[in-house]
Amino acid sequence: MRFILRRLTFYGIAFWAALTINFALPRLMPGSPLDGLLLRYQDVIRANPSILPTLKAQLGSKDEPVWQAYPHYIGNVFTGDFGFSTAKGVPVSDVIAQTLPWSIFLVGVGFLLSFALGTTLGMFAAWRRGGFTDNVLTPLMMALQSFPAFFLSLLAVYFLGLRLGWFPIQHAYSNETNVGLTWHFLGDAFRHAQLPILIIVAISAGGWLLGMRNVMINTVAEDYISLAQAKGLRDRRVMTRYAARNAILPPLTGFASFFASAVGGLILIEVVFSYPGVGLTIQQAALGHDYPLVQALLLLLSLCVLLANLIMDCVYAVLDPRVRSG
Amino acid sequence: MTEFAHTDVAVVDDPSAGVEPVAGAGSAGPQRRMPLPDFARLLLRNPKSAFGIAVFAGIVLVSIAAPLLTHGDPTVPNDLPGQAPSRELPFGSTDQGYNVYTQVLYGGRLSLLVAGSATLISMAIAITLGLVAAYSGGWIDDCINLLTNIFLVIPGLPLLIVISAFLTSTGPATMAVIIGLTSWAIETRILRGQAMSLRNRDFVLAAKVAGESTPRIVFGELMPNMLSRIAAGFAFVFVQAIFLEAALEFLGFGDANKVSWGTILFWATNNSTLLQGEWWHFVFPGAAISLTILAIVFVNYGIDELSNPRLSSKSPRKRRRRRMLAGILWPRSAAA
Amino acid sequence: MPGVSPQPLVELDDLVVDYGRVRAVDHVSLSIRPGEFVGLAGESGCGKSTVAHALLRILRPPGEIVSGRILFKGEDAAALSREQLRRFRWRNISLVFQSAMDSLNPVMRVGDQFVDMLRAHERIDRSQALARAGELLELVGIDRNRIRAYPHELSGGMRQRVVIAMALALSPELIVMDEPTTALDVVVQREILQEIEQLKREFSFAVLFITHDLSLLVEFSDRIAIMYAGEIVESAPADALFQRPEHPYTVGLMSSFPPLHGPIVRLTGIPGSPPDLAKPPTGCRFHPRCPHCTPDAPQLYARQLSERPELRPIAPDHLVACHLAEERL
Repeated sequence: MRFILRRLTFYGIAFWAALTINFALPRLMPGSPLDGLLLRYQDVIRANPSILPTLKAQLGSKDEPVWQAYPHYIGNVFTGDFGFSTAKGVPVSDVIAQTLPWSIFLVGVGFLLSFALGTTLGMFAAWRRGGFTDNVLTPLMMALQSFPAFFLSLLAVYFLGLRLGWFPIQHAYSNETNVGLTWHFLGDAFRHAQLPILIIVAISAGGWLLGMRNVMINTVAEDYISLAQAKGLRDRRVMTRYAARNAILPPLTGFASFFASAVGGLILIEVVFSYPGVGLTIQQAALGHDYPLVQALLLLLSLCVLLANLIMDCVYAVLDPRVRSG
Repeated sequence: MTEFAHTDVAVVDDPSAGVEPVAGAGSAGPQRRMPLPDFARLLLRNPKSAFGIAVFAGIVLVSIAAPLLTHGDPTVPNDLPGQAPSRELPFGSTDQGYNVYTQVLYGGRLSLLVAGSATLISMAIAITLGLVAAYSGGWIDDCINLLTNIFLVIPGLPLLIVISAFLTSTGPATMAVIIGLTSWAIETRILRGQAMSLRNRDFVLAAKVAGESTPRIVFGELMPNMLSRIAAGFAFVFVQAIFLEAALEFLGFGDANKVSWGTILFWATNNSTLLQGEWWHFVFPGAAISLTILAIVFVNYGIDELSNPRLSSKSPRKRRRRRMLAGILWPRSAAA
Repeated sequence: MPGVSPQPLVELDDLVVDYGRVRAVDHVSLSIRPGEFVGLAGESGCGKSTVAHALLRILRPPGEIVSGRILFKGEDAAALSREQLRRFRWRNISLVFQSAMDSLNPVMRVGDQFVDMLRAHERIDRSQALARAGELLELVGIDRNRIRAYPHELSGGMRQRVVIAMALALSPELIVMDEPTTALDVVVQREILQEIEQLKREFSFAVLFITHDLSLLVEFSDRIAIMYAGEIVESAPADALFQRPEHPYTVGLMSSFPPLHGPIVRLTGIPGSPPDLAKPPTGCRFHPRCPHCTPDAPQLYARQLSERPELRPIAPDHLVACHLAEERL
């Protein structure tokens, strides 16, 4: 429990740091982002004059000194006021509610699949050194990893989507499908998610494979593996319950940096597939200088990474009894 | 494990966490120096890293020699638009009439230059912070460590996107700076770990007793003993930088008038050449980026095997020689 | 020994084990009779643990048995199928490892590690298996509730007892103990050794006790074999070996620790360090460290440098591989 508490404290500090970076960025930039925004979106702001104080706190203005704006800004965030998307003309929270579920769906399924596939293959590669998995699949996955997400997505869209016509190539569902909890909609959404998820799996499974393989090669040399074999356990059981079960722990600690970079991949994949998630939205917002939305989404993505890490810490604590008691 | 094989156990490696200093290597003597030339020689002898180094050197050479290999100007559209690859146009032409071959060759210059500069900035930060943190310890270490951990959980690409959104223009120089300023965290953590394992070695303690200043000890004594790991760090950060630079430009946050691998890709998707079937417009620049990353990944693969002999299935005798390199840990390879 | 049958339980016949190009075990022959306590001593790196691994056929690549046979009750263990070998392990020979710290799976409850093993050999349900585990723990003096503990929650001594209890579970005919007390402090060491002795009397299994510390073998062993650089250099009944050690290496080993009784003597030990098995010395492998190997006796010296001594009997059941001993005969 001490472990989880310690991590929680760290995540609290990290979230505060993300908030502060968000607050500081527009104030550190040359020129005045606020003036640019006011000029660009004068119509929207004239129509919704109530958003101006929040905008000032977010982007910095001469009327409000930093020492006043900072608590103001933080107060806004904690009361759930992330501001107003000037480009879309709706509150940021509405945009998030529409886009976040799609991203969580992609990343969630993609992560679980790549983790399962990568660690399983890594396990076999380490257990049978020089076998098929080790000699053929490992280098293959490594090579696949060096394709940047956007290039792999483009290749997939062109060859698997356009040329072969196996997958839909854009959006989360067809235009003619009505959104709702119907089998038709779910099936359609799933069909559209196939290719993006495939890309996520292709680029991230290799990392898990290599991590698992390299750790397990060392685990296999441990005395408790020899003892397990001497006990007359079946090979498969020694591999799973003894070797893999221990080898899985170190790769999990690398989850933090993995997830942070996975978010980058997600943005690129969503952009290529015009998938209406957070990634596509942040790109569009940034290109349209919709600062409130951009800032809120950065904060949201940081928060998601922190939450994902917290969940992983809990999983880790469940899997490793030494951490639990220590 | 038999006692026999124990002699081969050099590193308890943990590639994903990649933080713990190497304890096992202590037996190799108090001043386990791994001079850079030796390290480079071993890298060239490993087939994987030798392949990677050769490919990377080829890419750099081709970019530098671009004027010799192609006659066109990458910024002037003077070919028939939308041509498929042929003898005259090896990589085809864009629907604006740009020669893709010329663009890819010249584009490499900018991409490599931006990524290289970003790597220099990032590694300068990582070396300074990592070594100072490890050597100073105490609250300085705590602060640097906290800062590093925070930067590790803040997603890099979104942060870069937000910064680009606030900047009115992101030219190559700006891009190199912002990539460099946001991608130092992983290496800082690794270098700190490695420096911690060296901190209490005799030669550092001796320098301390002799009354040398902290910067002198950190950069004059500690750093020369970590050169091989630092070299490995350059490779690792470079992969990230190539990826981030291309990604930012692809997403439309670069200077679209400059020719680089990322901007070629940006135009390729922006003009929806994809839907018209002009595959050559994105395949060649994409392949150039991937090949560059692949080359470095192979170098990493080699470093991995050198630092953790168990990973390669070589004879025990060869392994023993490789134990020299036990100190170099490699975290996780490849970006994306 | 009374009650010892002539048919050996386990017989290593000219065993050779290589790790790649390194010969870790070099033509070793050794037999263990039912109920016998055999000590195998030597410095670390001499190949004694490899013998233990070879016995259970759990050598790791690149380690492999190159030649020789391992006979269990006269049957060749190499002829066993995969499944037969799996069943043979632990039921017939069990193993206690060097460091109990590392020989228990750190993420599995102690009880489950018993259950695992019991269910690999018997049809038994989980709750019954756990009950058995509890009984076994009590046998070695650990509270039965500790089946719910994780290895890191136990002390070093307790962990070693757990492993010993595990080794007893299927009442094997032979328990191989590979430095079972090395990681423990002296007091706990003693306790555990006495416990093993007591259990051995109760369950009458044979023990192959591997150690670098000859002093541990004094009280308990029936027979002792000394290993150096991959080969057995001396083998004799325990009292004969202690009263009249023949090989200079044995003498050296015995003078590296203080006698339990008797006058205080100066500890001499053995100068030098064990040879690199990838490049073993020519002739007698011990010659670079042997105090009796000097050019003063030119003829003997030449033989020591060029000719490998063979293991020959010098008394009933007392074998020595040494040119000196041969000369003396």
